[in-house]
Amino acid sequence: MAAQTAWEFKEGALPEGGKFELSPQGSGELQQIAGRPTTYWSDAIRRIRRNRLAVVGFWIIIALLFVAVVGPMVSPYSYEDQDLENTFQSPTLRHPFGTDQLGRDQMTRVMYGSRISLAVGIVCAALNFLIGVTYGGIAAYFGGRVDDIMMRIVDILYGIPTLIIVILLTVLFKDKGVSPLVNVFIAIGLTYWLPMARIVRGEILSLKEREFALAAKTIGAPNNRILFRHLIPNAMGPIIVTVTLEIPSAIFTEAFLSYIGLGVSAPVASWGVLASDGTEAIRSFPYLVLFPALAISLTMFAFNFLGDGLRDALDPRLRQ
Amino acid sequence: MDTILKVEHLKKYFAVNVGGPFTRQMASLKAVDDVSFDVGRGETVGLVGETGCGKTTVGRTIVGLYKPTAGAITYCDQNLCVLTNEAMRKVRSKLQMIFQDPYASLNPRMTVGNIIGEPMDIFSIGTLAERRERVQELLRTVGLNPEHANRFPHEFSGGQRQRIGIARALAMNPEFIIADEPISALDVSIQAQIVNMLEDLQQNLGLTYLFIAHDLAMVKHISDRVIVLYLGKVVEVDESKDIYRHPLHPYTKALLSAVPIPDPRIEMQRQRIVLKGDLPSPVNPPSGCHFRTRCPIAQPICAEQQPELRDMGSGHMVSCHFVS
Repeated sequence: MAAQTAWEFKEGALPEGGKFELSPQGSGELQQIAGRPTTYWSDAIRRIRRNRLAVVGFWIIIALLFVAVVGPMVSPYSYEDQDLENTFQSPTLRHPFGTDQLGRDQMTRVMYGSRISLAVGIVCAALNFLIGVTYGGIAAYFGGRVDDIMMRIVDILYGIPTLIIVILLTVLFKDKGVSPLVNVFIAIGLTYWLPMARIVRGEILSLKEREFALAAKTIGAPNNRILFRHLIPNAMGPIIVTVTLEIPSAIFTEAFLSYIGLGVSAPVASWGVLASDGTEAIRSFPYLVLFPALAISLTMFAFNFLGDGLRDALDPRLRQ
Repeated sequence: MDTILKVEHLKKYFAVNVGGPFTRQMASLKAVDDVSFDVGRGETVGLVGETGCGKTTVGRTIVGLYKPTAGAITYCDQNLCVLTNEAMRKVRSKLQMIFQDPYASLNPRMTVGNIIGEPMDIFSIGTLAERRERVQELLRTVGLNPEHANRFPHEFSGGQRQRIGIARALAMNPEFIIADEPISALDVSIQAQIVNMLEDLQQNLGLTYLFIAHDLAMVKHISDRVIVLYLGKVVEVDESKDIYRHPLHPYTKALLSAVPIPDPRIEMQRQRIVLKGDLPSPVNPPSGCHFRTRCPIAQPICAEQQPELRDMGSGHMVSCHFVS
């Protein structure tokens, strides 16, 4: 039948005797077909690399860190040196961001401001880890009444606006010689670990019922070991995402507080102070508000893009 | 044979909310209701019953994952229920557990070497090098490549993971292992491998097993004695070779009639006893004999009186009014 010929092999297409042959390696050990072992983190890094915005955000943050550390050191100007003969200069080669009403180099001041912003970011991240993660973890792990009491405290603190805390602290520390920056740190310290505590609690609540947590208990692991070695490392994905999304929010809060005059004050230059000073002369010298505002927006975007990218990369449900 | 574990009148009730979404009405779910049995040294005792009958709860209460509501668990003449957490932690090294789900029972963030070595790490046994040596030895014992100690659990198959779980349980040289459905999550071909390995380990290391399962054929194969549980109560206990031939309790009969026979001719003639209805809620169990709502031979007395677990001779215990 003609139709069947299509199924026949051509002469010589089959190996001799029409049998499959063993591959040369087949006689010895099994072939190594396993790829490089992929761990959770290597997998996450591979996925975040595909997210262009997150990569851009990551490099902006690195650049920002570099500028904050090195910038003020290499700048020929200091953030507080006045040059009253050269006030309100437009951007030039000598002063790329121009000068302000007292002739201070705006670029140096913006670079110095990034130090404050990043300090705020670092404090926020550290408190998130130290207080938020531990607090939420303990509440969830011990559960029951401990959980109830601890989370009600969180609820109460949630209800107090950051602004009110800062105003109260400002009044409290008014003539005590405490730097206004400390007020901002305390305010951020009091409020910014709260979302983290809630997120960690939720994660640990589900993780602690998993069999590996029970297994850790049966082999005699003490509570703190189960919590810090078994449960929290498994909640690291959401924790890191929350931190990267909390940092810009803290930075913005500092800028906002400084803008309305509750944060750091002159001559220290934070982005909020610079923007606030700049708005006074926005009609004649718009670049004075432009550069600090740009710096704030760029930082916000960078952290948020990175945070979104991390969330996508670390969420196991979105794994590919 | 000396008794290694003695469970007396063990009860474990869980508090559950039976009210609606806005009302709070607590009731107790009687997961384990007055269970007593003992396990001799070197013996394998099978614990069988359908889903929700309290098998896992019994196992978890023995290793101390749950605090018993009432009753006593005596392990090597030591009442585990009155031990402090710290003392209990120490006893646990001799009393280990193998978990059901090999995918959930290993911490995904730890290497296999760390998982197996963790018990030794916790109790600071030996130097780092000695622990590593022991991990390699354990991996060989359970038939895995010692070079794989640096890999993560997700790089292994289900059967291999279960072997890792077993290696972890063996790390502290335990005497007693509670195997909580160790094979139910595995393929049939792998089940046989794991069961054979458990038997070999028992021979070589002198282990005692409490083997929790719902696969009756497997329990028959591995166990010396079988305990049948129904709704948190023991309904029958016997030597496994006898109970499969002469089950006395109607529930055991029904259970055993559900086991397929690997011979088509006999299998065709096999008569299944199909129980009517579902497992009653352990929140509100039937009065008298818990099994009476589904029992084919139930009489009025069953609703009024709870049957005692009676010895029918040579250790064959049954709790039914109509068995003599």
